Amino acid sequence: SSDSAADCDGDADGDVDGEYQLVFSEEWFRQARLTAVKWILETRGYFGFGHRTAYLAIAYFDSFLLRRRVDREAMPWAARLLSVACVSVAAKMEECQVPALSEFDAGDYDFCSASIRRMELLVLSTLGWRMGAVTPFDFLPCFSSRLHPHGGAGAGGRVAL
Amino acid sequence: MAAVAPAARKRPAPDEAASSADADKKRRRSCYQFENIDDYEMLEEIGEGAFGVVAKARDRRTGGTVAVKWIRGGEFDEDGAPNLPAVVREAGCLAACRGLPGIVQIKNVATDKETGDLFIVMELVGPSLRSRLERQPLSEDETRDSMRQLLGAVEKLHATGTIHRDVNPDNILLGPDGTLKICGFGCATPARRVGKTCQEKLDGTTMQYRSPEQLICSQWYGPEGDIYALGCVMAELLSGEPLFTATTEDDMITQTLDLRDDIVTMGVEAFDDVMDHLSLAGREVLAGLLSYDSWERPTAADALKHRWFTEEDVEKPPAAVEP
Repeated sequence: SSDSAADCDGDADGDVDGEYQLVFSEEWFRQARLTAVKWILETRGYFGFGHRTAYLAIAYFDSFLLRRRVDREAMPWAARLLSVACVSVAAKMEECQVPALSEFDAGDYDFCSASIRRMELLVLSTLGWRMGAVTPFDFLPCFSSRLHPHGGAGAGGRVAL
Repeated sequence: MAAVAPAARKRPAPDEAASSADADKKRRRSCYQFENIDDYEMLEEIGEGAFGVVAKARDRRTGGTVAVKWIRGGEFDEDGAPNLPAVVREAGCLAACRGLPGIVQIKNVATDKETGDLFIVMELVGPSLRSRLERQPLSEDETRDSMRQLLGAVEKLHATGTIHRDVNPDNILLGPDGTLKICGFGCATPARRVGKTCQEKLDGTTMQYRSPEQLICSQWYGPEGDIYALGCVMAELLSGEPLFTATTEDDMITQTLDLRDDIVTMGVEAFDDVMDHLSLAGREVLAGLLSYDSWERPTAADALKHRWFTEEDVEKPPAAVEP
């Protein structure tokens, strides 16, 4: 196969699916994820990103952890590094102005740009560069135009495209 | 594999822990490794655009030939780490189009270990439609076949939530069996943020195929711009010459406005100068694609439902058609 990232996915899905189910159900993991989501939302506000960017970052965070294991011992900082990378990649997809890696405030941690970039690349390859995702935000214009008294079905159909 | 895995888990606990940790490490290390650009032997440069250089290359491991695109990153962090939104967006948009027949396929993203540069590895298709047009224009039947492929590709592209923003004959590749593939995703973007589509990268695109709403720098443009560009391509397929020849944005705006006036006042006769041999149905499609107002343009899917595509050979010369 020419797609090494996809090979990795296959591996992970094949033999460790059960373990991940276990990890996802553990309390420490739920806490770690909650912290990550909070940080991502705060960072969105700080840079003035769109909500879609935050949604995408959280989606990347989750699908990364579905495919790859992060050890509990490494967890506090690994989850933060992953969060930074996910927000940065989401901003690159969505935003017109992309902050430099050094502009991210990782809180208690101080990640160098090279580490963040390595993590970005790991996220990109783990997700097979499929960085587009459908989010609830994509449907909002369609619904809102239908609710609007003058926005007929035609306008709704256009926006939905 | 399914049979082996449960057996492995039944081994005594300490052993299992050690081996699974080892396996984890190995898996992680192997996944860290991006494809190395050294795996490809560069053969010749085949194109240079505003967003990077494309070279033909041989995959040293398989012997197959591929196209490798080096993306001009240009943006660096203070400590020298390349910050490459261009690569993420181009590769991300290409990856969203994996498996679509009318879109050039991304194979991988390779890295240069020393510089950190990233390269998009794609299937090698060619030559470009531009070089085909240099020989002679296409007949109406050939044009219909090409437009059917291109509109089909753009329909699927838009369905993935991507807009291309730089459709022109240089970015359309002609395969050996006559299939067309759209490439050149340097300007592509997710289309979802209605009203806030980024304008900044348009500077690199070929101006003569830009839609009116892109020319006046409207922030409110979406997939309709690609449809206008396809209209420009269709006219060029038939005449062999670019529809618009302006070299400045102001002239371009004037020329698109002139075309709008022609279409409004003369209807389908607006194209008499350049393609008097085109059937009435063909002119209707062309006029639709080139509608000045973006909301007047058909979607790619709707355009394909036009009788020019669905009822072949119904009519030949425009004179023979009822008024």
